Amino acid sequence: MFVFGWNNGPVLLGNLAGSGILSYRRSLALVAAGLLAGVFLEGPKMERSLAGGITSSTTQTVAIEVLILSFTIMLLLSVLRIPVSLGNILVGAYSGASLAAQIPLNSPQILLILLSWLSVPAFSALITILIYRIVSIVVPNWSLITLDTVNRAAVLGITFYVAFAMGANNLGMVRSVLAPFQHAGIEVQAILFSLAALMGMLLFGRGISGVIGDELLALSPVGVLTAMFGGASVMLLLTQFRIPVSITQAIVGGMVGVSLTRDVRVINRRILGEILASWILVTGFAFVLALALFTAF
Amino acid sequence: MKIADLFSFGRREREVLDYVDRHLELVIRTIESFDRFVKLVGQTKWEDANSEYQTIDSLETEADNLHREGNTKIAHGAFFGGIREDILNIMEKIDSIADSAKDSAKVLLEKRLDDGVASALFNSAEMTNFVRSCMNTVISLREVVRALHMNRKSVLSKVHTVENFEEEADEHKDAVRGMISSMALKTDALSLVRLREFTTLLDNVADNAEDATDVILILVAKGYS
Repeated sequence: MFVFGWNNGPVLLGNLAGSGILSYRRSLALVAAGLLAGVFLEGPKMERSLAGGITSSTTQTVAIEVLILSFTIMLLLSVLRIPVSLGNILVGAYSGASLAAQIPLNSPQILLILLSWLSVPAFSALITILIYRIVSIVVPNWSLITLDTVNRAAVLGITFYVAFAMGANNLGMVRSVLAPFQHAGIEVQAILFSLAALMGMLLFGRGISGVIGDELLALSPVGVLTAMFGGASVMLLLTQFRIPVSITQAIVGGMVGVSLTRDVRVINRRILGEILASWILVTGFAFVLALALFTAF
Repeated sequence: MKIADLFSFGRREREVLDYVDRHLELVIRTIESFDRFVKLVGQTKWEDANSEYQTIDSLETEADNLHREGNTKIAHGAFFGGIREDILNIMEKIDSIADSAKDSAKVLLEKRLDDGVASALFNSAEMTNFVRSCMNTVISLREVVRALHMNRKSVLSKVHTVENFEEEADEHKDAVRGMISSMALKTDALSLVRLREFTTLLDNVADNAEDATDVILILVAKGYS
């Protein structure tokens, strides 16, 4: 979870700390509140996303191996400053380790997850376009001061909302892996996850460049905030169906959606290609590595 | 930033726009003083013109001070990040308007012009129109800034007024320069150079006003999209 915070820090903190509305530490406090709220209020819905979803159950050995492998992959990619999804890694590693441990896989659930991942960017784009169309009608009627005030409030609210969605989906999913260790109170686990993630953000979260920010697309504050809101909404929706999803997938889809409403689009295709490739390659890599390691040892 | 600032609901931003408005008011007073200065030059009342220049100078200094105060206010966190730089740019352009007016007045006082040339040129309709159109760019710029308190449509509708007056100023500048050229035989070369420099600096008043509206356009494009 420490590495989760390290890697995802810019997604959660980038807009808020970068805007200057709050200091980095106060931004961290807001994100902490969002993560904890998400873990406690919606996180339980993800408890059967992996164990109880992809497989009917799991073992302590599989759980430990999956966590160690996921930590290692995320650590490596964080050191290389590559944003990566915890959901992609955990699903890949968990499936590979379970297969090696001869635990039957729930193929329909895996298929559902993969199909969801494929459709999340498009779905997120669609949702964001709808929201953005409404926003585009309302915003021009505001004065500059009203626009600025709303932007500030939106950055705070949407940062909390995105953290909430990530806490619910990603941190909630980790609880699923730890199902064999039920003797530790779930609430204690949730708090520890969140604290570890925050430590990662605090210590290293500023280091990874905001790849999904300025380098990918040129959008106004209104566009970025709409994309983040749409992305987080899709993430929360999928949480209801126990489907792990990457916030990056959702937000990138939302940002592309906003850009599609413009006549002039500035999209860095190279960065977009790299992000798309990482989603596919990371999951496959985690699966193969888990399968190989568990089989070997 | 303090927690209380989160709930200011635009108070600091209103104060900043108020600074911009007051800054513009001072600059308009500077231009009005410049207008009186030009008339005095046309009447060859050089002592009075010099006094009026002192007024221009003190108004320009006051505008500078207000500019600095406004920058400090913005630096304390008024406005969302992307808009902040644009507001600073706008204030910079407005300050340049006053600077240009002062500099163009100063050029005329460096060495006294021939009374006949001064009277013929500075009492002419061409010069009056030139000064008037420069003043109009600044007055209409004030309307654009005030429209920021309304909505995007209001801002965009008023931007073109500034551009039209700036184009008008260009035409009147060319007419004044034509007059200056026709006076080549009536005055020395140095005076001709100073008069051309005067028209260039005065034209900068209108140009800076138009540049300020360009920044406002960028602000609107970035913020309202």
